[in-house]
Amino acid sequence: MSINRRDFLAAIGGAAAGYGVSKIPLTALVDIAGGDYSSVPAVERWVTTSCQICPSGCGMIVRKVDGNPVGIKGNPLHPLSRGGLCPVGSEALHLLYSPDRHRAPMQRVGGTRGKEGKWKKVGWDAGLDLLKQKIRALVENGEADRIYFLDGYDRGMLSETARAFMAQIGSSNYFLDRDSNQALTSYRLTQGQKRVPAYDFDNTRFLLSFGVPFLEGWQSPMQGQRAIGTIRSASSNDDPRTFVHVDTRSSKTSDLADRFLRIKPGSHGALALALAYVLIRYELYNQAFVSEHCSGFEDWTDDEGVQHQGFKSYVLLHCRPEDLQEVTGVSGADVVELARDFAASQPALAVADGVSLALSNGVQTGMAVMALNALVGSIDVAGGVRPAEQVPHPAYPWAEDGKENPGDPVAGNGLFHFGIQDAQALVRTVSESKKKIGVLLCLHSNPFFPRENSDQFRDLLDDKSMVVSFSPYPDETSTHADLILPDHSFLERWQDAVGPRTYPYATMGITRPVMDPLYDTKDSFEIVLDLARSLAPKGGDLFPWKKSKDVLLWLAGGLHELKRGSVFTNEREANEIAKMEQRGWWVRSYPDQSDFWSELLDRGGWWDPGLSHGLWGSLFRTPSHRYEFFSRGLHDWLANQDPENHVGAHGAILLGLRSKGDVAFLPHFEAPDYEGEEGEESLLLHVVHPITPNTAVAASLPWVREVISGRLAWETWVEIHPADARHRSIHDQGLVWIHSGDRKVVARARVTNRVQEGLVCVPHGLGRPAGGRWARSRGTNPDSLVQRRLNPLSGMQETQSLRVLITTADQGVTHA
Amino acid sequence: MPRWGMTIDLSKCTGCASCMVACKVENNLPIQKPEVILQSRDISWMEILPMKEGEGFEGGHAEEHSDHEEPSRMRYLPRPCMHCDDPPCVKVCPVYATTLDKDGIVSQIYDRCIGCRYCTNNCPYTAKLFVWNTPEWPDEMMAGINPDVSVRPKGVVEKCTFCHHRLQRASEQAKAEGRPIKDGEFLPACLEVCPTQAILFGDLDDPSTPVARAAASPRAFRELEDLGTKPKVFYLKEDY
Repeated sequence: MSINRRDFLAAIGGAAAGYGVSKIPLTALVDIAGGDYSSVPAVERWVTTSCQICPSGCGMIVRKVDGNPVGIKGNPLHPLSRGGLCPVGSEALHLLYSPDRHRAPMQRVGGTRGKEGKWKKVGWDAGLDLLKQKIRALVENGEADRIYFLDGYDRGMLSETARAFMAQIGSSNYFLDRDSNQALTSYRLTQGQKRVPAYDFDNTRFLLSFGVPFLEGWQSPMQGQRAIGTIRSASSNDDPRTFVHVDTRSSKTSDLADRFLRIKPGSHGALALALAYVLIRYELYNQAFVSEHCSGFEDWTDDEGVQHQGFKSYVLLHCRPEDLQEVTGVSGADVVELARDFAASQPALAVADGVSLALSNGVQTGMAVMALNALVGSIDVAGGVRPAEQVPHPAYPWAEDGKENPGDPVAGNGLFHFGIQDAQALVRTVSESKKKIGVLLCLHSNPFFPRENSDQFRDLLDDKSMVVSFSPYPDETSTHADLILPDHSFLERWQDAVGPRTYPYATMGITRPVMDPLYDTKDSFEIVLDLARSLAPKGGDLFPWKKSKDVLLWLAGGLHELKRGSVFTNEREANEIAKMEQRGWWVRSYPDQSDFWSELLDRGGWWDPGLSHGLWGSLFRTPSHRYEFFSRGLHDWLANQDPENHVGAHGAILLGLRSKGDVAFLPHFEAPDYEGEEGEESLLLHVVHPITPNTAVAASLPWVREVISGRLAWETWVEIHPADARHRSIHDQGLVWIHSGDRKVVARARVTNRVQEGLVCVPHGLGRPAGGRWARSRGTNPDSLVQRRLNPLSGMQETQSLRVLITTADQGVTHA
Repeated sequence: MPRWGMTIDLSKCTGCASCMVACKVENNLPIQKPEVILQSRDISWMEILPMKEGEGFEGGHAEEHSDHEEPSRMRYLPRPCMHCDDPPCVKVCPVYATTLDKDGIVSQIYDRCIGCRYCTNNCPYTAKLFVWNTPEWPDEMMAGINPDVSVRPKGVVEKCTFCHHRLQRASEQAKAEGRPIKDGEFLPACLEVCPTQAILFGDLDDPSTPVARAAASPRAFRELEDLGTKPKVFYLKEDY
């Protein structure tokens, strides 16, 4: 639909109109454009809901005119977003109105997976019957373990239900498609928690970031934005707080930091240990916390009388800042200054994520950074690190008595034991089973996006496999699917929107439909409930809900009974509630549950502003029930794996480390292993994440694309240092090839001193072979270059460890 | 009569560009093909301008020959229309298509505009944008068009209006209730999504409003103040 000047003038009738718009008959303008606003006066309504694009679950208020959503603003009562929205959330209307949405359930009737397919529309009953028959046949054949569920939604009741459904039909193959899981393993090794750590940025006075992309594509972009905004604005209001960013490359996050330390790739852990050296050497650490709540700090003797090295002596022997200067590129004086500031501004918080952890030494880096928090006592205090509070819920109908929520599904025994059941674990499980996948259910997940393991995914399938995609939008997984059962967009469905994993407060927003579904789609939550009810033994009893709204009413009933928390409040009310809760008071505001429910909908959700701190006794779930500098969990596990030689060479190989003996269980530094092209010409490739989640969702938003790529028009770029560029005769804005083995992708050079020599950076998220009109065939995909090495402890891909060659490309090369 | 103005706190702003996207949604900006961006004919009423610290705006200067040890540091400046009290664009418009309104908003009257682009040339803030291409939307998206804001045809100049259509609605409401507009009753779309609440908006002439207090703070400055354009968008500088 387009508007030309003739239409425009005809519509306004040549009237001498005022500025702006509504003095002229603008509805007429929209009418010629095809909109339906002829009924005057228009009826305006505002509906509170929660965003479901990423795990932040920010509060939204949708403006509807005559039934059509036409605008979105932030919900000022939402505790995390406080009225803000990220650019992706701001453009959420385009997800509703996307011209490329799947409009009905479809079955593949021909063609090849991943290429052109022949599709026919099937009704919902017929489509769901196809899936149920397939699952039923496998279960009856005793092959329930060939049913796989890959859950990229990964939060709230939908995921709990999916997990329970899989368990009830006898399959343990429930996996999470989670991109960033790096911090979990080091948290588990030091504190025994099976979750990602959460951070209290609002109350910290000194934030030290090791490569955390707070203002790019971090786990919760909103939490990152708010953290940096809070620290910077507090400083401008005579409440001095400091944000220091340590990374290999300049980014928006480093630009807005009070201090930016550019360090050599792979040396984040070394810098953390050098800081620990200063804290210990000059006795700047919190000695009370370390002696009362930590183990493995001093040298120690175990029950069998064997001497072990502690963290203190390791650091004092090996981690002098001057000695590590060569490794990190940061001078000893700078390290001492930073460590002193860190110790002097309490509470101080050190966080590692992103590039710093996606290397072979990533887990040790995570442990070293966490050790800084332990040294200054920033564990489970205001402004420190702690596990996120979970939203309370009534007992699940399927729960066995007395069992608490198990946390993230962790990988089984053997290698990768300390990671989670992720997409990589799915590939391993299928390969080890020696059987092809029977059914693969992909919920908010796109495993066939061309990255290093997508070929592997194809190999796991045969002609009889059934791949089911619930995606509302075309993506690579729908081109590989046998059955597409399209979900509603999130503006058309009911759902709980729990807060992000890294947010300490228990938060549950309500996502509610702002309009009737535009197309013949179905709520994926209701599909999972339907499958569970009809396929699980005693399904009707275990899954008593038919509609997703029923689940929310059930959750709300539980929250209403609870003597804690509140519907979303403004900050002043939240402070009052938190203070009252600390004193053991609570006032019931809504005697009647229906009042509570309507207030919950009006305000957008429920949260508990009260956080209790200092519960270290129950926090540390390690063998020693303390914070473990020396990870006994890792030590004991290895002893079980390999009783003969667990701390010897074999043990180190199992852990993928070069260090032997006690050092392997301590936060320590070893240079990362790289792979790919070797030699003087090679450059290290870092894949950086702009604010584009891996799903096809954000990729289908044209304005988000525009915002991210700036003047480069949706092309993939490669940042390269001027000296490296000159040496290769590469010019700014010229096209270059990035080679790795026999694979190569083209990109446009951005010659800049914002990367260091020897390093090149490429954005993730472009180069999609499938997807909507704004996603497909734009740019190239660096992930197709990244090799398949996995960290032996976390099971995570070491995506930042690839070396590549860069050469100039002819101008004739087409970028797409 | 209020004098509407805005402050943008650069110590709070993280350059996330939510304001830019929210503005496009509110004001029916066209979805542009990336090729249009290469021609520099793209339209954003609110734009995040990146600039190199100490050097000013990034005008596509390659750094091929800069081997500075220190990496260059970028700053991010959100740039709406400045709604100058002495607007240079108004002075050159031959057809009175752009005028300074009595409540301080520089308006743009599309059906008067003849597309001569004098105003785009004369605006020192590059806030005025010529519509080079016929705006197009897929049919499915037409239901999401904001009915309060007209879509602009090819060949006219457009710019940030401080979401003037919202002022009209708020004024009508206030008039119906026989009272003046209250502070906070009229807010532009960019402000409503800002994750860090960096933007304030309101009556600059009423010293009790947060925006007037912020504009009077010692941290406040205006872009290209020495030109005498008297912008009503104030920036609060970062404090270090």
